[in-house]
Amino acid sequence: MSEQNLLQVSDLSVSVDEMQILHKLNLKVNPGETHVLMGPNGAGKSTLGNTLMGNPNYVVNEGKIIFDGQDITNLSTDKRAAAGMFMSFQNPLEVPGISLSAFIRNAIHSQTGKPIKLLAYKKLLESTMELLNMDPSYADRDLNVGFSGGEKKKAEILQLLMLSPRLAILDETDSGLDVDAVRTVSKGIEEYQKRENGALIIITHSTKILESLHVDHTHVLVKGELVASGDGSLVEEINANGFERFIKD
Amino acid sequence: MFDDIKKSVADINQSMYDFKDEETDKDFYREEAGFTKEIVEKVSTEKNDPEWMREFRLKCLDIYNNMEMPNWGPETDDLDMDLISSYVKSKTGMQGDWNDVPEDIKNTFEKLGIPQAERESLAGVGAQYDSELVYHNVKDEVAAQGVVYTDFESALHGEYADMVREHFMKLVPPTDHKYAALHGAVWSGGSFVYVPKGVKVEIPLQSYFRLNAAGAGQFEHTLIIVDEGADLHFIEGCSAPKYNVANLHAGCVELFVGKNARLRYSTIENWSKNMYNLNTKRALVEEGGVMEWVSGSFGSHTSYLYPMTILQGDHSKMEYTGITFAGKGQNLDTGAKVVHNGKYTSSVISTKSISKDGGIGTYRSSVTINSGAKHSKAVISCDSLMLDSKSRSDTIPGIDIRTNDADVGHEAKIGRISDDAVFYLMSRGIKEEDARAMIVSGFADPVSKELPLEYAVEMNNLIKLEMSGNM
Amino acid sequence: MNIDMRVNELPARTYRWLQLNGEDVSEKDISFSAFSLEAVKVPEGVSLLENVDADKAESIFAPSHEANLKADEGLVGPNGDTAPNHAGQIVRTGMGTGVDSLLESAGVKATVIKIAEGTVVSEPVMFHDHLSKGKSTISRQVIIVPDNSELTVIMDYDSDADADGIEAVSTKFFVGKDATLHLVKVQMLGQKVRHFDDLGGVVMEKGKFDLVEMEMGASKSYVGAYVSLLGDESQSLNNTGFLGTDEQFYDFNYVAEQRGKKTDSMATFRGVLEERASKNWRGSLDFREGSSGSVGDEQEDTLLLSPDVINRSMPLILCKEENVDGRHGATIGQLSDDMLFYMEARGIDKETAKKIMVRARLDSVARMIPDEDLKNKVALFLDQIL
Repeated sequence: MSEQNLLQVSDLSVSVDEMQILHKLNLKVNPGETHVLMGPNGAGKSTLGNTLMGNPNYVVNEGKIIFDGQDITNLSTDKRAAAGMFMSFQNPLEVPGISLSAFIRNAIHSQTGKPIKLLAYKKLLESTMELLNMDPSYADRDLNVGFSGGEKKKAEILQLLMLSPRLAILDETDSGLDVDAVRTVSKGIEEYQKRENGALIIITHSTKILESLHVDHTHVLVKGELVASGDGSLVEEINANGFERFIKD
Repeated sequence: MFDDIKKSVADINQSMYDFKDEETDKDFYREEAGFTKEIVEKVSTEKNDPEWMREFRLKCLDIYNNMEMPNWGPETDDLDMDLISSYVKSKTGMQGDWNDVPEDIKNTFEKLGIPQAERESLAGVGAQYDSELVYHNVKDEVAAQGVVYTDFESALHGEYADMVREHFMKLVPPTDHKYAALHGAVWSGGSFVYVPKGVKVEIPLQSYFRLNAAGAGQFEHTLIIVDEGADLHFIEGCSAPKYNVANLHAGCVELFVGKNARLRYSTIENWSKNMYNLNTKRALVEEGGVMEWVSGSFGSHTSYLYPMTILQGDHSKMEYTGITFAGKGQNLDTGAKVVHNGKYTSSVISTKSISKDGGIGTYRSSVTINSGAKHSKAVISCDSLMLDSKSRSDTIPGIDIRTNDADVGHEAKIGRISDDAVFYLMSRGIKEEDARAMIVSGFADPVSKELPLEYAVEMNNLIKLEMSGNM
Repeated sequence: MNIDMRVNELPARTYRWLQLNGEDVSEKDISFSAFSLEAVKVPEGVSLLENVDADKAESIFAPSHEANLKADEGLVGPNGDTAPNHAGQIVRTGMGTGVDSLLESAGVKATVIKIAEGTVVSEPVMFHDHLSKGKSTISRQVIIVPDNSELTVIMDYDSDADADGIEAVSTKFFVGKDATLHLVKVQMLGQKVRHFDDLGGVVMEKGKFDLVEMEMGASKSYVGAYVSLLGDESQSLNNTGFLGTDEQFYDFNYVAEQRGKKTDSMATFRGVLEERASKNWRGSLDFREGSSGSVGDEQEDTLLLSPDVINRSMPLILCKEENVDGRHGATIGQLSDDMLFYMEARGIDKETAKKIMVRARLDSVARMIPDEDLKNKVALFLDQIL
């Protein structure tokens, strides 16, 4: 069983600044599956994303994270990325002096250990940016510097498509976006689903982004515990009734 | 508790001063000696000093006579040390009458109402009148907790004599600067506070200084020791009537904050506008201790005031919140200094400075992060407001970092009252003068928030007074 | 000759023990063997006069000097004002009077770079100096950009790897009304060379001074720039990048003196300290009385990458005018955890992330160099060091 799991989280407890946020959480994700993680503010959704990616501010008190058969609980973040994990940031960082294009190329080089041919890379980057309705000039602009909120989110999805991970965690990728931008971002995610057969964990508290995406599993996180799991239809129900029912439990 | 105080102070002095700048003589002038051995010995005899103190005073005099004046701060040319020394010499038996207090200062401090404040909100009060502590009182329940609050002379001879000797001028050594040496030679009066282990004093202690005689010098010494896990809020108020002769205040405050202890030291200074306020304040903070400064500078002709905190213990913290209002004829050079020695130490300095009617307001500071202070954090923010172009406002901060494992952020801004804001308030029917005063009060708000209510009210009154030009 | 001088004096002194009021320079038995920089490229329209007497070359500053002296009569300066020490300088410079005396005693003549009024020369004038082992150089240039004209001047200095002398450069500039001077200085000297770079000039009404500066080599560098924004609506833009590795020492002093109305100064200092490198940086905005409507902004961003570095900063704002907006910000420290996590989340390990960030900082300044060859040279130099 566990061999076919891409990600297996067992009994995961996590604390931040000595306060426990996640309590014995369990989750399995198979290749190609799309999971949606929902829950009210402060439930620990982003904590899960950051913990999976290995943010040192999030301390694992107990439990294990197995990715592709390997225990990565104590693995450094860059090695998790090289192993095929990706997380889109809510607030991507700005780096003056390095262009978006150079940064992604650097990241690919770091992950694969091989330099990528410039011409082929440029072509791929251009076509991917086109898919995301990104102005080509952004390739040469400094990473995230002076990008609007929407442009930053698109740049994250661009990185997702360029880096081709096996599991992508999208942390509130839709927040603060207008309708057009949400459509573009979800088009990018769709592309990732079909191009890479990539698995997804989509962290969100709205459902806009999910409208055009196929969802296999939905999980509801309340106060650091998974209180309900279901298929895509659970999204509809939450959409209609909110989290009230789960909080009362 | 402060077993290794000598060692840690020695370390600090080394870390602070072993890179002392050797500037050429031409940058300085030497002060003529206004103080003699005879004067100092007379003071010592009248104070009934223990022998070690007598020797200490004479040593300080020697240092004073051989030390250079600072070459960076406001001018002190009008300060006549001969006049001040002759006062110190003949000062014993001074009497004063509250009725002599000029109206402006009386108004200010009657509103504060020391006796009234004592009844309502203070744990204890000490009032220093010129050179002697004339009044002090501690509430019974606070005394029952073992809290000691006494005048300095009694402390030198009483139960805590050893503790006083162990700490006196160890944090501010007489070699620190010329006026520290002068203080050591002729200090007189002041308070000693000791809060025992684990004792939390719920209501503030207050000391109140007033300088009444013309051409006088006030050199009170304040020593506060807050032992492990203890907690204290100490309030200091200062005032003096106005004479034509320059007055000098060269007090010294030494604060020892023990392991996991907390001390908040609040000052509202409203010396009259012929005062030279050359005060030295310093705190040493042990592991996990917290030092909080709240400082309002409104009075004085000239100020040199930079409370310094040495974050010696790991995880120790300091916060400095200050406001300076430099009006007509004032040159107020104020700020803060902090030295990070321990690991995981943090400091926050936030100041507001207002200049008006030709006043000179200078924010001056230093933040030093030594190589051992790993994982330290310092945040500095200073805002200055210029109310007209007759005035000056200068910001002179220094930052010295000797480790990579530190996180330092500094922000400074200078500007004016926005016309839009004045217009907005006026469009709601507020007079321009009031609108401006409101905006300045808003600017000062982060400081007044840190003060006990009655002081916050007083501070706002002082701002209104300054804003209306009624000085 | 022996050199003993105090340079890079703060406009207003502070606590002595901070040791940031100025820096003392002491050198023994120096003999300067060259007295000008090599003009590599002089585009059409630019006149280059060599061996000009300093008095003559600098006479253009006399009217503004006199006007300033007059304006400053009875001035209430900041506490610890050091301006009186510089009253004799016909145009104030960042390093100060010490360099003037040095030029005087070494008998250095000026090179005057000038274009005609109303001309725009788009090709840069390029100067270069290569310092050989056993040699020391001192030079002085006066750049004159008259009304309604525009000029770009690029200077770069390099040396033999084992060169061990002094590279001293003094540059004074005059920017006329509605004129623009782009000045680029790139320092890639060997690790034993001492570098003095003294800069000062005036900018008239609606004129613009744009400085791009990269300091990357030398054992000790003393760099000072004093820009007087005399004319109304004059502007100063300054971008400096520095890299300190090994035991390198930098001592910087930048002053924007804002006298005209609605003047604008913007300065960005970006750099990296590694190994046992140390840096002093003084940056001052000086709003003079009458500079109403002026704005000034200085930002320092220094990355510290080793426990043995020393980073010292003195960001001053001096102000004698109500209607101004002055700002200073500093961010000093190591790479933030958030930044490292972001990089690592993209598969880039810590060491590579640091390298990327160091390079990014310097590249952000290098890309402003308006000459491809020099840009490539900088890239090669950085490849070697990093």
